[in-house]
Amino acid sequence: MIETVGLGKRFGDTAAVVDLDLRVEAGEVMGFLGPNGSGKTTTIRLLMGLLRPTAGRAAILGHDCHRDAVALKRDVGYLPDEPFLYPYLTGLETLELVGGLHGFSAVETRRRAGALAERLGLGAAAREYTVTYSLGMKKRLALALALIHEPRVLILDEPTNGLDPAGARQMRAAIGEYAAGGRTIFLSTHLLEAAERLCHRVAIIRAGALQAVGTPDELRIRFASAPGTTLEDLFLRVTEVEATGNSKGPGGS
Amino acid sequence: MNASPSLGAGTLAGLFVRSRLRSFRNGLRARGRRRQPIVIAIAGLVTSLAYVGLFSQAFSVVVASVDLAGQVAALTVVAGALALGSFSAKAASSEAVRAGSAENEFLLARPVSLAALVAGRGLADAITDPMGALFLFPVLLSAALVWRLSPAAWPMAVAISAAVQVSISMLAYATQLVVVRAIAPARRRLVWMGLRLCAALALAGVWMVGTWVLRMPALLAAKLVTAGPWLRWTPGALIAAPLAALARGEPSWALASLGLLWAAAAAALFGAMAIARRAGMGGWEEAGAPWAEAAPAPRADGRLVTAATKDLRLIVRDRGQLLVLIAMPAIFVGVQIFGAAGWSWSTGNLARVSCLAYSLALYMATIGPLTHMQAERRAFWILRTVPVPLGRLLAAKARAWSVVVGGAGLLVFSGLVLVMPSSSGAAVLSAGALVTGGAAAISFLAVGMASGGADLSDEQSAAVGPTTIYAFLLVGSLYNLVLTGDWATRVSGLALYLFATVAYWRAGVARAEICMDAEAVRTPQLRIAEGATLLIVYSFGQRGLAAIDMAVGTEGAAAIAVLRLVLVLVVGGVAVSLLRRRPPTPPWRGRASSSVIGVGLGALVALLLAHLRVVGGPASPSRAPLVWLGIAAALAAEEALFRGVVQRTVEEDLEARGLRSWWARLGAAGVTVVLGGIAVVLGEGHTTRAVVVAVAGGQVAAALGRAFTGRLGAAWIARLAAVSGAAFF
Repeated sequence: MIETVGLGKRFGDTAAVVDLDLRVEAGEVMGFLGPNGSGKTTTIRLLMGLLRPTAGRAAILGHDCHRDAVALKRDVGYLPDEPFLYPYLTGLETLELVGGLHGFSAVETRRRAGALAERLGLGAAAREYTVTYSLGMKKRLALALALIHEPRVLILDEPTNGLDPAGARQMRAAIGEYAAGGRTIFLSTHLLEAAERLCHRVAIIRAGALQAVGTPDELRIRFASAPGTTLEDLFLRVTEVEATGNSKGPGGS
Repeated sequence: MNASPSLGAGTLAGLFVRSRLRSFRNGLRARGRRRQPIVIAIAGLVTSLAYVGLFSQAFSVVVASVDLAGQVAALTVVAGALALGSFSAKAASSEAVRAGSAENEFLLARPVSLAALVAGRGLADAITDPMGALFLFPVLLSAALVWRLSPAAWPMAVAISAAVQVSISMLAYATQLVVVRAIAPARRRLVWMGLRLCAALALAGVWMVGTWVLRMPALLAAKLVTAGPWLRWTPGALIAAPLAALARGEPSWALASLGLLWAAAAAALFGAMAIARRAGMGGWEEAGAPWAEAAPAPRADGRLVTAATKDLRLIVRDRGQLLVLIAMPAIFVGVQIFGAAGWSWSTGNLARVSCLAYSLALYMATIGPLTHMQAERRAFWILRTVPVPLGRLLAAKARAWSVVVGGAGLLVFSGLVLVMPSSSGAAVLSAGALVTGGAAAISFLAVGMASGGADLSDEQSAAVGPTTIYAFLLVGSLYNLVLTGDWATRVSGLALYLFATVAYWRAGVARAEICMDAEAVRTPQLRIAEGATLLIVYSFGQRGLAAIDMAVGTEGAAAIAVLRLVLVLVVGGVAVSLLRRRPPTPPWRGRASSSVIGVGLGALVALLLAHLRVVGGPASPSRAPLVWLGIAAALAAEEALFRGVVQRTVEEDLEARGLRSWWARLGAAGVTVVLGGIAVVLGEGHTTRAVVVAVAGGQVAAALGRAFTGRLGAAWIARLAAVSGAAFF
């Protein structure tokens, strides 16, 4: 479903992503975890074809993310970490614009836009300019944009970042709902508790390199942790152990 | 311990000065793209020196033509126009006292009162922004030099300029304070728009005054003599008074006038501080914030927003942008008509009317479609994550803009035709079609060029830089030849224009694909678009030199020949530097066999030209070795452009589009032969068929030389052999 092989991206002398091998199966929710600046957003932008890889390749649903980017986007929805919008379009107009670009008829575009605005709680604000939106509203609208074509794969970059507790809960509920519908979700987040609850497996990245991947239970076994160890403990252990230069870690693979 | 309620204005000014100078120093030390301060400093210095030179020259004429009262009147008008332009520009565009800017939010969260912030910033401006009063200082310095005043006048010019700048800053900030406190947020955008329009008109006034002074200083001064009594009551008189007193030999009166000017500056300072104190801090949190000042959302009109209509809808709703889109082209063209050429000249015949209407469309395209990537600045991810090829999205944008820009061109042309001396219906119709077509096509060029130069990977830099804007104006101005030239020039100009448009379009689509990738956008590229720009620069340069050649006659022929050589060497040098961006594909023939092929092709062409009698006899070039050295160098430089950049990039492009190698090579060779002929026709102005055939022959030999061998050297040898053979056979 989502596959990266030896994926790499350099910005000048800085290696943002290094030799990343990752596989996400159909219907799976994969959490993508890592400290700030570890290469999560770069990886996601590589998957969306917004950046050109300097090494390796990435594919979603068999489409190469760089060479076949247009076909890929028919089946992929994307929520960026900072969802900037056109300031003087209303929420509904933005949804209609994207619906039209996905090739839906005017009637169908309106139906989908209205239904999504309703479902994601945009309410009356959907008819306001997006320049007046709070960050939470912008994120909701951006999620609606990612969902308007009912994609098979959702790529979400820090979906709850900057949201208040109520907004974050709503966003998690929406993601959970779509995951329950059998969609493949690739989710970058800092909220480890939410990741543990939502994700089938998690991948931990540090300094652009993959450190660990597996279900939380598998990671507990691999890192010889007690059964009650939280994902946060595991995350800190993996990233701290790596920071000391011991690439294997206690019990590491 | 009781802390002071606010830092004083003087302390704050000192902090501003130190931090700005440090920031400037760090900018000078920075590498790469952050070296902008160096460019700005050099540009400011060069422009100031140019102002001193130009104004000194014009003011010398004024001094020679009229008495001292007339001279002072001229200085009063210029100084007053500069001060007015500077004030209106600052009031309209400065966000110094508006909330929302990072610096203001940072400072107003500290123990700094609004009054101290206003005063401190205004005082600091006078020191850290020496060009803040729109080059008033160079103008005053020029006047002092022309009047042969003692060196004591120089610090006086500095003091005058600083006083004017403090006054301008204070009045501008006071205006902004009043707007924020007295106008409701929802209506404030309209007032900001009005201020911007005033600024544009005032700056147009500055331009016109400058043009008048530089073009006809004596006439202007003679007219101003009668206006002297009126001018005495304008702010310009207050600015000119100290130097005028020195010119009259009254130093004490000069000091008194300077004191008066500083008293006015102090009054402006305290006035602005009083307004700031009265305004208080309430309401500043939303001043200038788009969310607060946005107009109410429109009612749904039933039409879906599409990629094509999105930009238009955004610009119509952003009223400031809309005003700029409509007003600025009109002001630019108005300045051209009233400030430089004059109404009767500008509308004297069909060609000039066509040029005028097209110019307006060109300016509109500069402000409209050329800035489309700026509108996409941060929301481009939306268009990049939908399953539509970027080429189609950009074409939709360009189509929508072409209706607006083409319509504006047609509208202006239709209006001007009515006031123009009568012309035949067919001529008017064909000119109208050319103007409208050119204006519509310019939108595609604008969208392509803006995409081609866009860098959306860096939050700090503008999406469309000044280089793109100037390159756009250069390529766009090529179409004027299509509107005004003889038929050969029109056809050649149109062909080169279309080639450039296609080249820029393809480069733009390719760049838009990677414009969010910092690494990819900074990788140097070799594209057909650069070749097109060089071809236009080369043709325009040659055309200009040909015009000078005709004007000076045989006496300046040698100098013009040297200038032509310099031009081609410069263009060739740029072409070579472009070629170094990407190594070529390995040549498909060895060096020796390539040289033989080159010589053979050149000799064949030379024989053919001799047989056709298009060269030879008295038209042959001189046989002096120095001349041939120059010819060899010029041909090498031309080949770097035609075969090195253009043929190679066209070849690569055709191959990328799936053409077989040999067809791609021959196709690219054909393109460069045609472009070579076009460059000659455009560059020479009035040329003979024999010259075109001769040059085309050389181009054919060189193009085939490159196509058969893959070597630039073979092309040069072929060209050299063709030219020397034609000369010596």
